[in-house]
Amino acid sequence: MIRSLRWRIQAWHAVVLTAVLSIFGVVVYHLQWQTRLHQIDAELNRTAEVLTSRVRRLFPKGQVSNWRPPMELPGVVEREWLQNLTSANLSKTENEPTPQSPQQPVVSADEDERSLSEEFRVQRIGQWPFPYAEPRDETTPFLADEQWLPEDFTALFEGEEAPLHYTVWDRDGVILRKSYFAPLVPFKNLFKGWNSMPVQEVQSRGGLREVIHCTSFGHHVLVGRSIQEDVAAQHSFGWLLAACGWAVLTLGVVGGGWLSGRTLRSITAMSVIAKSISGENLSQRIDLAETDSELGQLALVLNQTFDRLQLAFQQQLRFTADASHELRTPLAVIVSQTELTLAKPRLTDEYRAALETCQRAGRRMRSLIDSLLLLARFDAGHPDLQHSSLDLAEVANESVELLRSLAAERQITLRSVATPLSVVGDRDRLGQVVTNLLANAIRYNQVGGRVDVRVERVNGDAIVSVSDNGIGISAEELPHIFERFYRVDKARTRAEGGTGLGLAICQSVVEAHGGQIIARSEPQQGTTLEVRLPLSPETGKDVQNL
Amino acid sequence: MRILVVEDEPDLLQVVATTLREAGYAVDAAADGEDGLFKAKTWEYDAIVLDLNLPKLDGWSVLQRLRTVKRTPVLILTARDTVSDRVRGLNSGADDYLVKPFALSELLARIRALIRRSAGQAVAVIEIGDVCIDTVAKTVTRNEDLVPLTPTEYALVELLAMHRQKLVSRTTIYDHLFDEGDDSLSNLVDVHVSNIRKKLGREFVTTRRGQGYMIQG
Repeated sequence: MIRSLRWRIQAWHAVVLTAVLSIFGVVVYHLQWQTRLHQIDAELNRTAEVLTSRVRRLFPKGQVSNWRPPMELPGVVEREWLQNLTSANLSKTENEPTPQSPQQPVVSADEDERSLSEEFRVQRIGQWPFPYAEPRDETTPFLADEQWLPEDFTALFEGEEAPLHYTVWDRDGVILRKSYFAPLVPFKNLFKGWNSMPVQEVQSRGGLREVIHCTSFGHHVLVGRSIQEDVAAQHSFGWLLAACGWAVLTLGVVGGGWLSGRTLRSITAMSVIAKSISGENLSQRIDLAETDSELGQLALVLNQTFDRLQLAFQQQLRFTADASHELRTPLAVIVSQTELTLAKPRLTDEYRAALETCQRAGRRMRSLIDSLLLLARFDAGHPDLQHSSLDLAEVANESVELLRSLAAERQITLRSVATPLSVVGDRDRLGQVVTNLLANAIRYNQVGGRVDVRVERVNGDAIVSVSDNGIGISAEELPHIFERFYRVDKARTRAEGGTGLGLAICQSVVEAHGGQIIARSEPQQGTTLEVRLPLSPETGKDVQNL
Repeated sequence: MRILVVEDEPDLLQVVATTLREAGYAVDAAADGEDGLFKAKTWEYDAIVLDLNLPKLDGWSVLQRLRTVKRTPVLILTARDTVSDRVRGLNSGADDYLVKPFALSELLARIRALIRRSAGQAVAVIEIGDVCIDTVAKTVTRNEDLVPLTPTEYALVELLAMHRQKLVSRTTIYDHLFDEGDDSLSNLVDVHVSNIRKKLGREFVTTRRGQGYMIQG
């Protein structure tokens, strides 16, 4: 189960899908967060720009202010301390609003207040992590802060639910202004020197996102906002992403499983059919509904293999049936003849005739078995040939001499035109081939016909052709004549004592010599059988030298 | 009884024909399918022994064509032994199937059975009054005494007994008792009949003048 292709595909599919989805999710999450931050920063920057321009208007020359935060604008954290401060000089600031009295800075109260103020200042310097400047000299002009913020901007910073906060420092880190709920932010000096380019910096602190703009004359404007809502939104976005990813993964795995199952089902169906195909049942074929797909191609190839298998099996079956038939017939003659002869006392001539019948049948069986064994050896790839260099013309002439008496008996003219040609081969077997072809040409010829044997060289091959002017072979039968046990004229073959294997053996022998045998025939005109053998290497060389 | 043997192997044809002749049958031989079909259609045979692998016309075709006109019992005698061949042979209209090599005694027994069945006789021994005909031993007994008959006389008795209570014409007798090699004179049948009457009693065979003979009872 675990090792099955389907489960492995599924597992790999799941792993790859998980990896892809994870990477995708992380990238999307990160990009989304960056976009969100970018939007926040843009908003903060825009606000900071406005505030910076205001600060420029309030402090046009970049002078350091000795203005101190009015007591009615305390920071959130330092409220308690500021209230102490307030209790010290509240009356002064209330009666004479700070912006209107440059001659009376915050710190210039009466003696007690001053000492108190000094004490607080020391305390401030001691407690705060950023330095406060020494009091400015009295001559520094103090700029009023009417219309410090545009109307619509105040809504951004006022109230408990104010989304933004700001803080404005001078270049010494003295808080000039800050929104009511602005947290205390450590002063970070970004001032690089007079007339340097304005500097902007973005920072994240806890749940806060802040931008600090430093003007060319050293004022620092910080605008910040809480990003806890954004973080929460981002987290919920992350969960949504994870949920979607999980859903896609589940769908993908289930869909992949369905797909792989569907694909593998046809493979399973193919293997079931392939398994069911046996010697008993070779006719079944795989359904070729999808021949375009790779599986269809595989099925097609398998079907073609089955076709060849079936053909080979049928040929084998037919060959076995034919061989068995051919062997049984002479056996039946022997068995029946002996049974008949022994049934009652016979005359000597009858015994002789019976024995002659048995002898004929026995010889036929022997010749058949020899032929079958020979063919079996060729089929098995052990033709057992005794190769030697030989003259094909000599072999042909020997066969012609062997069959001259048979030809004379049937009044057939036997002519031979043989050019000496050297080939490498088995002398006996090649002689057998020529004899066989000649015997066929003589036997299946008309009385008074003729048979021509030619040994010649054509296109670098040695050709032995045996042609007759007999009745010929019809076009339908011609392709079958090299098949085992195929007989063109059964009655005549039987009468001649042929086994039906002669031409099959000729073909096997010639092919084992690397040659080929072909038959040409025209009905009523005659038949030509042509054996084409490769010349021996020496002959080839001789010709090249010439 | 007259039998046609269609077989392309000359030696086997010879053996089978001789065997059947020695068993008292009249035998015609054919060496190929066309000849066999022609003879089978022309003459009234009691049985046909048919090979399947035949030149010119194979055994199955012979059988199919023969069955369109005649119901002569056919025994297929072949070297093809596969089940599909047997089934095909029997389905083509053969009555029996025997595979080579075979025992001659089995061939004879099967032919006897075929002839008997086609004549409507279920058993091998036919009893007519006090006469008993054993078709296996080819003997006739009367009151349990063996009656010596020549093969032709026996064949005539058997033929009439097989078709008892039916008229058997002289032509039928000729067709069934003599093969194509015989050139018997027509009155030879009368000679055989009178010999049978001498041996088995005058009333055993009834003559219908100008029509034929029959065995009552």
